[in-house]
Amino acid sequence: MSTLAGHGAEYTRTVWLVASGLGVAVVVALYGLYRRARSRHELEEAEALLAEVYRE
Amino acid sequence: MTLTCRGELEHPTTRASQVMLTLRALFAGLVLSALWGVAAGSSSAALALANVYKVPMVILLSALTALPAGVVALRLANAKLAAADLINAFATSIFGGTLVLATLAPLVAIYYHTSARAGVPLSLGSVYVALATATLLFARAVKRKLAGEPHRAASLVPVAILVVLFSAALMQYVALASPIIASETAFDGGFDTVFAPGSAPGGR
Repeated sequence: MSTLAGHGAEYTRTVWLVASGLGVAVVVALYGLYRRARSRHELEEAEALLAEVYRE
Repeated sequence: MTLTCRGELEHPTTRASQVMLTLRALFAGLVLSALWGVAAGSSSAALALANVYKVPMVILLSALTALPAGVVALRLANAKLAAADLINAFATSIFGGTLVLATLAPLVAIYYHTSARAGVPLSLGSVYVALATATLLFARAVKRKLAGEPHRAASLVPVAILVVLFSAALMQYVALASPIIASETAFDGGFDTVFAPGSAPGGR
């Protein structure tokens, strides 16, 4: 771990840990968003299929 | 892959499927970048294992740092492109760039172990090639999304801002996460060492 802007290695490590912790939180949030979008997409597909069946 | 290469899918997408595609491209990109991380850090098992987490995190954090400015620039430039389309194009270009990284990963690994002169330049070179590829893919995707629209140039402003800010953020996150490559490079010190008087990026 290098020192940046005159800060010590410990400081740099802490900044990295905080930043990567935020990154992990974002990944978890994005996965939740993905699951929501997927279930919505499945619902849309089912609705489209039902609409097609009723049209016939 | 179709979206990245051809710019558009055959069938029109709904909002939900666009979100899915964007996130799939992003997640796939992160996995591909981890492959490059393993290759670049293959000199030691600990570094290779750390890079599985570090490299995707550096890319994700750089994208997150650059994205708000890109979306604000899109609004200020009064561009015709929707924010969701910009984010989608950005995510697919990250996928394209990381695909290049993963493709070059075996070459990076073999040269890293067999050449003292070409190993580090090749691993840094693969990053430059990936960045250039992602930039071209991003510009192409935005251009295709705006095909036939007047004032398309306004939409290229946020593209340029996103690319510049992504690169600037990437440089500092790489410095924070270093070492990613076992050998010391100018990027280990971030902006201060890359743009230090008399320094050449890539080596110290």
